[in-house]
Amino acid sequence: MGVAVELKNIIKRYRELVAVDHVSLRINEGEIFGLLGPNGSGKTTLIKCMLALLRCDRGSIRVFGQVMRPDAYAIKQRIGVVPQDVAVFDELSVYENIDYFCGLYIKDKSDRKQCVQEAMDFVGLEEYQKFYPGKLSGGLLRRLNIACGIAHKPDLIFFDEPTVAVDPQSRNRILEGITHLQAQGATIVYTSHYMEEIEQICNRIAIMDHGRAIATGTQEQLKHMIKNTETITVVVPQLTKQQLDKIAQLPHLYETDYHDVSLRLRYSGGEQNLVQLLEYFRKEGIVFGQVYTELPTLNDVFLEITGRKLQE
Amino acid sequence: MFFHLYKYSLKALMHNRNIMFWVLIFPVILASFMYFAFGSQMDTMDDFYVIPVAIVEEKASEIYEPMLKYVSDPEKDPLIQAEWVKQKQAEKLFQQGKVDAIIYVKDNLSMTVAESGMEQAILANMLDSFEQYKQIALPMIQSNPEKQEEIVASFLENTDDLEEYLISDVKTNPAMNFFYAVIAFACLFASLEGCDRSLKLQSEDNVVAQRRGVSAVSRRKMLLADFLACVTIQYVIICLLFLYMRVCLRLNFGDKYLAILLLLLIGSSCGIVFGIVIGALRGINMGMKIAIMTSINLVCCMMSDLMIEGIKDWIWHHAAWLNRINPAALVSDAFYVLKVYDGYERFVQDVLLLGVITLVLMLISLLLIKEE
Repeated sequence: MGVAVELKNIIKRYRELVAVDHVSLRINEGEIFGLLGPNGSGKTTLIKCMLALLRCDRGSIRVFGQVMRPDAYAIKQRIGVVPQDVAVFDELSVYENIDYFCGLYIKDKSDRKQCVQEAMDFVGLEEYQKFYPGKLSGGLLRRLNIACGIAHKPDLIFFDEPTVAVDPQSRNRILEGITHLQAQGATIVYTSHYMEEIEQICNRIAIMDHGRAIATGTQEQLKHMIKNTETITVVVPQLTKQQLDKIAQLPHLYETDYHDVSLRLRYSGGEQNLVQLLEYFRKEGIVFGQVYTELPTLNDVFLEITGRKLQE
Repeated sequence: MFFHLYKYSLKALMHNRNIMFWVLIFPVILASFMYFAFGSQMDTMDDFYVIPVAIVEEKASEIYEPMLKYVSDPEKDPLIQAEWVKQKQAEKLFQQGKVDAIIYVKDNLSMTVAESGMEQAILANMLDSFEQYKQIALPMIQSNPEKQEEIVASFLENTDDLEEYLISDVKTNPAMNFFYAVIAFACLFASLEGCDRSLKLQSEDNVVAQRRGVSAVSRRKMLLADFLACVTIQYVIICLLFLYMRVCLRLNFGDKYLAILLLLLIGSSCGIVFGIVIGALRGINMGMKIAIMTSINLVCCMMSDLMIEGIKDWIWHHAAWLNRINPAALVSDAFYVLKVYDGYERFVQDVLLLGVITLVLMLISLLLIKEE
């Protein structure tokens, strides 16, 4: 598998603020690579550096094996961008917008027409092709934004938080579309501060915070970096201090939290944790209600590494 | 590819109602408003402003008298309205404001004028010319006194120096300066088009600019297409405005239409490139750019007589260089000289200055527009 993007030791400063701090990444061809981090963590700045919209203070960027520069039009020809904000001309219709941006890459008129049609089909905007952006809903605008970025069938597509302020239906459609683009062979760089989206579609992930890539790997690799492997929550109306102390002695349990009627137990390792817990409750005659069990999420990874929640 | 860029720039501009209002509708409203505001003055718009003058003949002259009579002859498209009076009467008329100047005829000509301005310039030029003709014409008249009128006429009809001021077929009215300024305003406000395209090409805070910036086409190529689209639209608009003023308001701009078309093209281009430069400035947000551009445009238009009558003339006398770098003043002046003068010297000078300003701004914009 070839390398689509390779970043080495990238630093980008805005005066005193270090927006991107010694970031090194490798994005393989054909994968969906997620950049996950809270707002202001440097994701968008990093993407702008990759696209040569911003000049890095240090480090090197190679795209498809070539040095990325502002005038590297041969590389740019293979790139598509779906920016965070809807970037279309208000004065042009849906069809004209897609045709305009597609025309920045494809010269042949009939090829372009075909591409525009396919892009409209892909995002489901066929019936709105004569509409002006001002007449479209937020979800439809997002779809137009995507169509403008993918119509020329790029090999590498950057999606910068494409689902912000989008209804759940449109969001699902967008995410499905992205996996479909990957299936067609495109490499995707996807940024979001929505952990669930990243978990749903990304093959590999870099977690960013304060401009640094604090962890990189597949979901499994990231989750193995932390202590927590399972969290069990049980609704227990009554629990004495002695009972709580005994629960804390259960194997693999490293953190116990009893608040109101909710008992939250965090485990590191072990395969029969829930069975052992329920067995203990039966023996002790502890009455309990609902039981939930959760595997660690990327939020847990972020929380454990940074001490903060991802979406605080 | 280039046509693709050009075509969509044209479409985007044509659908931008805000810009269309300021570059087309507003100047039409302004011109119409002024036309009706000037009221009765407009009915005599084509009449030449004849300068009322009192002539005091302190010594009979074989040459000055026929010359002055010639230029004040009501049947010969007169330059001055002469009243031959005694000195006291002349001073009284002058004080009452019934005449703009007193011309004294002795061995030489001299004059008193109320204030410096166009009238003073015309009269001074006229008297200078009379002095020059005297050297050649006087011996001819003295040897052929019966042909006095013919000799004077031959000098005044065929002499280029005086022609610019006296014998031009087209005449002007001071109120026309407002309409020249309206056209200058329309040219300068084409900067809105240039600024719009530039913001959508270069601005850090414009997402469309960023999307265009990562495409496989160089920003300078897009800039050129945008510029040509702006010029196309603006040229059509400014010609429509001119047509409206000429046909509907029946304003007389003279008949040098080719020169006028050239002037409108260069004036519009200048406004557009100015907008491109402002839009491409870095480190300033969009709102601030629009504010800076509008302020500069309004000051330039104000200094070309749009709001304050006579300010352009005042600047010519006190800081002429300011008028030479003010595109609005140059456009307005070029219209004026096309109307008043038969020659093209000053018009060419105005157009060249406009061209140089446009070229300099274009170079600056090319430096400002970068891929990053």
